[in-house]
Amino acid sequence: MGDTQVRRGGLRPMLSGLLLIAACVSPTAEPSGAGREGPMHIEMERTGGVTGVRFAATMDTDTLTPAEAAKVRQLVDDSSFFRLPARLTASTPGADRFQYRLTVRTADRSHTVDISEGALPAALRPLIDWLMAEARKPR
Amino acid sequence: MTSRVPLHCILPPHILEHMAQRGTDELKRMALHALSLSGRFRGQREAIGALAAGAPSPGGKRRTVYDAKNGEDLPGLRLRGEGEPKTGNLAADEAYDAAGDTYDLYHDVFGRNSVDDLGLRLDSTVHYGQQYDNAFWNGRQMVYGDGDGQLFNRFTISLDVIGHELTHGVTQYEAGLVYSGQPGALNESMSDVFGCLVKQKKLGQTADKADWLIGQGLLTTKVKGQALRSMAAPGTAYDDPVLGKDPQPARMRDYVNTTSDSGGVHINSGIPNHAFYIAATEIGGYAWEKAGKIWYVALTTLLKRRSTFQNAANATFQVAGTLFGAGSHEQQSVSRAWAAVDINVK
Repeated sequence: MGDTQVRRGGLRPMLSGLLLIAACVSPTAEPSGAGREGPMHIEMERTGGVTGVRFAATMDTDTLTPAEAAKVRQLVDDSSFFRLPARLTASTPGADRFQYRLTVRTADRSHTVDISEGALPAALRPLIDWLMAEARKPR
Repeated sequence: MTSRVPLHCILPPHILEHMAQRGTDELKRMALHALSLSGRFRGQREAIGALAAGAPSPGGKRRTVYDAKNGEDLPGLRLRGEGEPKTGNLAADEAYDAAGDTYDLYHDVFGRNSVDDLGLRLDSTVHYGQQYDNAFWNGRQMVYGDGDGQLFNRFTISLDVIGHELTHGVTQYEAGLVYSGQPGALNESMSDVFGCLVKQKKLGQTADKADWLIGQGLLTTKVKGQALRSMAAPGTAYDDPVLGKDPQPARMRDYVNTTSDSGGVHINSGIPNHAFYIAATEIGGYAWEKAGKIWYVALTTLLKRRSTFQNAANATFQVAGTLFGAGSHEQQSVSRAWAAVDINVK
């Protein structure tokens, strides 16, 4: 169950659609992947579900193109990630839902959120979907 | 089953009442006999009277299958109701048939009328989400994804997975095991146990002939693995470059402490799973007839929201003694089964 390191080449197909939007929203994308906050590091883990299979992926903005890195920052900003509580749980009973653990680390802050599938904010879906696609790749 | 069984010696009256009202004919006879011997049970006349009246159940087998059409709104578009012909939608027909097989196991073997024992409707939604690689119980109904086709096939493909999901409903209405840590792993194990029994009963397999796999057929041919879990050999179901290796332990000494997966509920379930496998194979014959009955009575009478593996071991040992006699082969098998996974019954 090793983690997948997101590589440059692997990102492009996933991000191509999103980048079109990013280009409009963030016309002044940073000149390098580091950006004004320095490198951003993201870890994602999905566990649970009836399969019980763990998927995980990590991503560093300094391995991305400037446009890709800008898009990742935008996704993190859009979800107000650093203001989310440490735990987002669903109020409904039930079993076999997925559990997500997402960590975002920059030079000056780090935040980890545990999220039940039923409580996953819509704004986090694109980031999760993208990282899950990476986690599904053979290694 | 005969009157020699010292049921009244061990089980408290409320459990006898429960068994007398809700068990199979065999369990009812045993419980009624015990109640008739027990002067401690104040309401025995009423309880026996109610049984004699043969009060009808509010509902029987009432299945409905819905199609989420790859969205996430539940329950979705109604596809098939009870008694209606096949739809031609493979997942929908599988969900319908397997819900029926699961209902039948609980009804025919344990005398239970659906998830809540009051004839709760069995609602299933298929084609949930996009390439959704999961099946779940949302507290009210079953939900099945189509799988991504790369790693996982459609989740209705395995009868035991459907039995697994419905059993989450049974557990919710009975012991109510909280979905975290050991009680959560016990909850998961109950779903695997009864999911397995649905399949074994459908196939008419004795314990020694069954594969004891959960989710056989669910992994695509691209995955190196035979199933999601193995009750016979936890930790050996798959070992694959993408999925990693099956993380299940088989014994307490290998218990995995983790905050992921709601405290390892799908991981440490391997321990009670393996105990059930050993008990069922040691007892022999059809697993649902004796081991299954012992686990069912424990789940519905003795286990509680925060029960641990130790509590489950004690409960199944106690029930085995009640149903089959203290020191019986069945009770000794249960004791040896838990000892084999590092848990000594008390």
